[in-house]
Amino acid sequence: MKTKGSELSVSARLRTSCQFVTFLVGTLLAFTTPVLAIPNMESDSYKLQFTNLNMTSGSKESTNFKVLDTLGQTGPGQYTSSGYYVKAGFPYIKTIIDFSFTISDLSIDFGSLTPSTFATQTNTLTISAGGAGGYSVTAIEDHPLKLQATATTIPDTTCDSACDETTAAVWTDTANFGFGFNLTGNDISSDFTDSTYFRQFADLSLAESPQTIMTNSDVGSGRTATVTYKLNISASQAAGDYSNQITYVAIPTY
Amino acid sequence: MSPSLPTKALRFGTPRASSEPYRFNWRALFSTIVVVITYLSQTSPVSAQTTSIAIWPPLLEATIQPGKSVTQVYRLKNLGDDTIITAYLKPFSPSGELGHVQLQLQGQSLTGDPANGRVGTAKPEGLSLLNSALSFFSLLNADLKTLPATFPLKAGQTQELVLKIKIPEDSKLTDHYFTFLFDSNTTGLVGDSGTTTQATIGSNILLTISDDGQPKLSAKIEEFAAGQIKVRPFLGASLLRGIYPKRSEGGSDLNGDLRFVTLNLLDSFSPISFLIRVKNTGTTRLKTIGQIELKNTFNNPVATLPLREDNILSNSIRKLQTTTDWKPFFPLGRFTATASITPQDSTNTITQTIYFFVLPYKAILVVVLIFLGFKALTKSREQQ
Repeated sequence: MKTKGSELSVSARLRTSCQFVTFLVGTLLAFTTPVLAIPNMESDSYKLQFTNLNMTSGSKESTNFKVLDTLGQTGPGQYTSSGYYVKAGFPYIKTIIDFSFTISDLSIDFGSLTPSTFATQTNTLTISAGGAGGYSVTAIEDHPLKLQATATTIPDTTCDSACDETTAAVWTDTANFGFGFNLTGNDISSDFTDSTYFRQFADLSLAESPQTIMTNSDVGSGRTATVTYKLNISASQAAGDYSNQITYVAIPTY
Repeated sequence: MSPSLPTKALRFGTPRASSEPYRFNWRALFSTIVVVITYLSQTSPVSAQTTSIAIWPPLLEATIQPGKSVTQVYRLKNLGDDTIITAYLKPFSPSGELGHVQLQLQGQSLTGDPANGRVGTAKPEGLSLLNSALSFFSLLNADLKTLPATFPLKAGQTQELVLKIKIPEDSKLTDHYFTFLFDSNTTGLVGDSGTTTQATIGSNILLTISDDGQPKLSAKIEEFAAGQIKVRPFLGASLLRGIYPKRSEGGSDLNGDLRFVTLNLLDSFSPISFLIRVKNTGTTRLKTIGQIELKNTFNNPVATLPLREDNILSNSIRKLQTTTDWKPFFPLGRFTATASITPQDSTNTITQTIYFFVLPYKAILVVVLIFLGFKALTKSREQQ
């Protein structure tokens, strides 16, 4: 009987242990699982309908209105009455498709710089139109890399020969200083012949226009380009942290 | 009765004598949990700050009477890190001939040039008209009323914006083209020298103000051609002038200086594509509905290639694309291609016809070269 009692005791302890481990694992999972935000679909005075899965698409018209709707059209966006008509969505792909733009890494940190030594960093730009519609991406910097709270700058590169914000050129000589970028991947400008070709960013402080760096007039889905930022300073460059901001603008075709 | 059978399989830690009562090793369990938690916390990926935003709809086309208003819901998703969004509108003009846009930035004019798709010059009054048209737009959200509007958007969150377009009674009957822009201002941190990047996404708005909803639409085919090659006129330009290829009215087979002749000659083994550029000669945007019909040497229809329904803005040119490619099996001979385009909601059909030859000229050229080489080699051997 003693032995039997011992077996029961072990079983009970094991059960308790299992429950304890389950509790701990559950707690752990609860803290490590991503918490998904709930879309804010209403406020005190306004309530938006959920996506209207009307499961229809195509052109509809009567004597008073004409509509080209798309499957899954959000409710309030596609209504008509006398005096106007509205079409929303990609015109030739009758489905609900987002146009999205992703930048993989917002901070391009070159770390401590060594004169006459190239410092490079990369991030990726991704455009997705779900297989519908063309797009273009432009880029512009607010100003050249600037020493904080001063007017001292690291100039934009002119490459080994001559490059500017519209034309890329080879930049491999460490005797040439400045800041520039290279592109590889989908739909990039044709002047980026290979990874040695660099351009300046268009400079907003000089009233330059944003320059197109990715473009496609056909359908596009998951189009990705890698931007390589390159920096090289001279020994006479004033010490300190230099910074600027680059804005990428992605717009679909009409 | 030995208790060792059920306990042996489950116990862990230091072996014990079978007579020893079972003691659960809480220390081992606790240590294991600490190790697991420490491992997970140490190996969690430290991801760089990203921005990823999606917008729907990507395009809004609206035709509105003066005095009327419409609303459209825009859905903005944040697929990246927490961010601050600023929503605003900018007028745009066509950039190139493929439907891209050029935003009108502050201090820069809309003045275009033919290379940028816009024909002619925007007048200063046009600029002020566009800027005043910005007052047509507002938001109907409870907490967002005016533009520009700034609001936080957490990771994974979707924000719907109700855009209202209200046309004043006295508005001029004309077109306005805008891009609804969303700046994503995610804080990027740079410890040393470096750059922070920012994403902006846009959605285009084509707005037509019309009394009757049926503005007059007119278009013209500026260029229609199949693949072309340029050759020097070895037999004289005047001789080639009387032969094919022949461009339809308004076109020309020969360059003016007669140094080169452009032939609509295609290779049987190469892809066959068509270039078609259409100009909107009216003052209102239009959407092209049409196709290219192909006939062979015997005037029999061989293919119909629908054209993509693209928008052409007023007073601009757009290159149109076919929705399907023509991939015939070994085409040979003289073909006829007729492009027919009718602006949507109109009956003003425009057509243009071209003729072109399809021959395996590259293969023929290779055969001729091989023959000439062989003949030269034979002659050389005979001389030896």
